[in-house]
Parts: sequence; structure tokens; C-alpha cells
Amino acid sequence: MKNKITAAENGIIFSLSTKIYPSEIIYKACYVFIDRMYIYLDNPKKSEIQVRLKGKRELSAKELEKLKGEFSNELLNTILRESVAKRNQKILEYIVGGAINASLEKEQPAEAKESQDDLDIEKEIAAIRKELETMGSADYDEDPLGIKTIKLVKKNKKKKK
Amino acid sequence: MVAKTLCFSRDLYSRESVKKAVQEYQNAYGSRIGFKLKNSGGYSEVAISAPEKVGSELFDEFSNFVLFLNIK
Repeated sequence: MKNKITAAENGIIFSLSTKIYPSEIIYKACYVFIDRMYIYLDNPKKSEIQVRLKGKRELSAKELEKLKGEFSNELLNTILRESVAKRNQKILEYIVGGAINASLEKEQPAEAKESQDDLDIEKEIAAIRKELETMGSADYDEDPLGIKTIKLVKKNKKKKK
Repeated sequence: MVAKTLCFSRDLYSRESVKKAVQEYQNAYGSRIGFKLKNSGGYSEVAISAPEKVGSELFDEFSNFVLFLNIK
């Protein structure tokens, strides 16, 4: 990783091999630094990406070197994170799949309970309907509760007085 | 007036992200800043001209914005 400090432009230029650092990794590292410095990318050769880091404020050569060091560390950090994520992807998929399955299994008994409740309600509705039907068929003149007779008895008592 | 032409390699910066950045800047600055987008070889060239008071950081900020859109 050769580098060239351009004091006039307040920046540092270095090249990265795409065989070691794929472009995706370089983009991710750039994203981390984008608020701290200006970043220019170029590809003068096919398997090489040239990175130019430019300070947002005036920086000394030492500070520019430090920035480059931090950027390089971030590149390695990103590579490591990517490889760990790739390695653990299957495990993660199993864990998430297991969690979803478990939650689905828990939901099923609740559904069964709901359907039982629905059946109970339907039975109750049927019973009420039956009751209403029997009440509807009762004739007014039949007087099943004996209301008419009670009224007549009361009237007769009044007349006697 | 200050003017500069920025070149973005099409292998590293998509044409869409350069176009989008130009559109966003045009919406933000209106006619105060002039943009000219051109394809040249493997590069997207953006010629920018702006009044001096806007400052030369504009070019760097624009370049960072293109990179940001490209990553996003």
C-alpha cells in the first residue's frame, strides 16, 4: 500500500488491490469515514482502486498518515465483520427459523380455543332462537302465565265491595 | 466564478448516483450553480461552475455526496 501525501491538496493518496480489498469492502469503510473527510475513488488499473483522502480542515502530514492508518484499520475490520457474518449466516437462519416456528406453534392452541368459544356462542344462539320460537307460537288467548285470570279475580273482588 | 470538472469512474460510481446528485444540487441551489454532465470514456464528467462566495468546498461536498448515493 504505497501512499503519496499531497500537502497542497491537504490529502493523502494510496492504492488498494481489489484482490485483497474488494470494492464492496472499500465502500463500507468509506461510509464510516464520509463525515470526517472527503473521499475520492478512482481505478487507474483493473485490479487496483486509488483512494484519495482529503481533510475537511487543514491537516499536517502526520495527521494525514494517521487518517490513512485509521482507514486501513477500518478496511480490515470490515473484512473481518463480513467473513464472520458469512460464516454465521446459516446459524442465524436456523435461529430465526426456529424462533418463527416456536411462535407459530404457540399461536395454534389459541386459535383452537377461539374456535371452541365460537361453537359455545353458536350453541347459545341456537338455544335462544328455540326459546323465541316457542314463545312466538304461544297463543295470547291461552294465557300460559295466568295473567288474565289474576286480573279477572281482582275485578270481581272490587265489584263485591 | 469558480469552476471545476469532476470525473467519476463508471466502474466505481454508478451513472444514476452521479445524475441523482446533480439533480439534488440543482434543486437545492437552483440557477446559482451550473452543472454540465457528460460521459467521457469510462468516466462521468461533471463540470461545475459556481459563484466564488459558495466556496471551493462545494466540489468536495458534491463528490462525497455522489459517493454516499453510490454506497446507499
